[in-house]
Amino acid sequence: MKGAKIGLLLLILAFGSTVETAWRVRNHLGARGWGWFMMGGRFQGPSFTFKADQVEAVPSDTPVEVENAFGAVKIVQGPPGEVRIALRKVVFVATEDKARAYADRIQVQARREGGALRILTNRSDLERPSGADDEVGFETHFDVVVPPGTAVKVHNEHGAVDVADVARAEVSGSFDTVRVERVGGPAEIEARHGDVQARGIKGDLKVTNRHGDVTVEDIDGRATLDVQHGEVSARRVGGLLVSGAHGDVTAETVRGDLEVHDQHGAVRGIDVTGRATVETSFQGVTLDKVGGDASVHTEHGDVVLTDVKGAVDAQASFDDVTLTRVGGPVTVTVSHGAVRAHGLEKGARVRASGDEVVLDGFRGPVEIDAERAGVRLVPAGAISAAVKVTATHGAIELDVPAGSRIDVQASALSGEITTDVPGLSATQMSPGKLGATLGGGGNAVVLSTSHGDVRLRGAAAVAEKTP
Amino acid sequence: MARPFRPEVLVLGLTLIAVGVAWLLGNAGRIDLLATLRAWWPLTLVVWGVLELVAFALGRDARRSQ
Repeated sequence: MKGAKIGLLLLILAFGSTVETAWRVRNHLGARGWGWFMMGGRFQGPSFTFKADQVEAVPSDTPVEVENAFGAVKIVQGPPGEVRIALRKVVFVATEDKARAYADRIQVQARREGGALRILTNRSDLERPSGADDEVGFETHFDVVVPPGTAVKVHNEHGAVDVADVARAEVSGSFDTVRVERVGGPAEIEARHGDVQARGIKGDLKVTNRHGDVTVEDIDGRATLDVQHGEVSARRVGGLLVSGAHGDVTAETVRGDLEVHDQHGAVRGIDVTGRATVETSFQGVTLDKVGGDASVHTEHGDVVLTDVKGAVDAQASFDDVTLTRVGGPVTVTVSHGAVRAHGLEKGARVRASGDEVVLDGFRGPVEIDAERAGVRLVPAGAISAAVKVTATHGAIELDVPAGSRIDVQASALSGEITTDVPGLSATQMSPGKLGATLGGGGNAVVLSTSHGDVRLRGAAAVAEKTP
Repeated sequence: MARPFRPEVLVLGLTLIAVGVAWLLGNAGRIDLLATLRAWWPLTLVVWGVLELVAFALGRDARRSQ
């Protein structure tokens, strides 16, 4: 036999083996269980669509429940006194005749259960293993029109859910988008592997989602979001609580408190009227315009807070903390990062290591403990409260504006103390130590560093360097 | 001088055409590609065998006529 014949024979046998293997994989490893469209299976090939409509007369305020799988569910508002059900059946078989015969077996079931109207299909009966029809795939898409003021409950698997203009909503969905809009009362949404969008909710909103983004807007009540592996975007909400991981959180215009417990996600909050409490890791936190207190804790991320009216408690590591215009007292703890603040109205307590501490334009008492870091302090006006700074391996610089009334105790181990403050009279002076008084004293200024210098700068020097 | 009849060339050509057509119909949603290939691929061996027999018969007739 020639080489070409042997080669072709091997090629054909290899081709056949590949086809046989693929066939066995598809039919014996459970392609149906892998997902809706995975490897084709029941939802591939020619399909034919059929429609069925029915109308159910209902008393007012009858709750409506819809249960579905492998298809979309859409609920909108219509005239009172009736529920209109439109079912679109999509059958995946080779010929229209077979599809029609199968579609005739797909029935809408509208049952009165516990005062509610429950709408579903007989999918569970059709999918019961019975032989030849096991491989027939079909989608069922519901369009339901409900009376005004109807409370709805939807459970859908492998299909989109769209609910609008209802009294209250309780929705669960998977593998597609869930959208809930214009709800007169509370709404509760549970989703998997799909995005969630909720807009125009008059009551409280509760969302649980896995592997999908969540967008909420115009929520009059409080929004509680539990989101894993997805981004969160919230705008115009009446209070917001977010618990999540592996996704960023953005909140704008929160009319109430903002509380975020995140991991591996950046948090950004803008215009929060109440208190802001944020904890996350491996990403930063940015808050802008907070009406109450702000408490922020992040690991391996930076903190940027701007225009906070209340107190600030910030903890960070391996990155910087930046504060601008804070109305209340500030407490900052940062390791391996800098602290830079401007416009602190009620003083600060700072523990920092690894990078500089700069407080520019502060008022009130200041207590700073810095390791391996220099400290630079520029008061907003005459010093009128205690200032205590302890540093190691870093210099301390304090500007002393005119009119300050201070008692200075400064020490610099392995460093120098210099001062050019007009009117500062020394009461004690020795190498590495200085005791002095300005303006008759009254406010303790204790500056202590090891392996660094201490410098007190007077008003002239301040004006010269910071015009 | 006419080229000798080579069944393997004909088999390769017919197989390529058949696979291409089946793939096309599969993409168009007219057939289940995998099911079709799985059902009909052994026909390639059958056709090849038939063509080998035909080639043998034609070769024997040619030798007798010489």
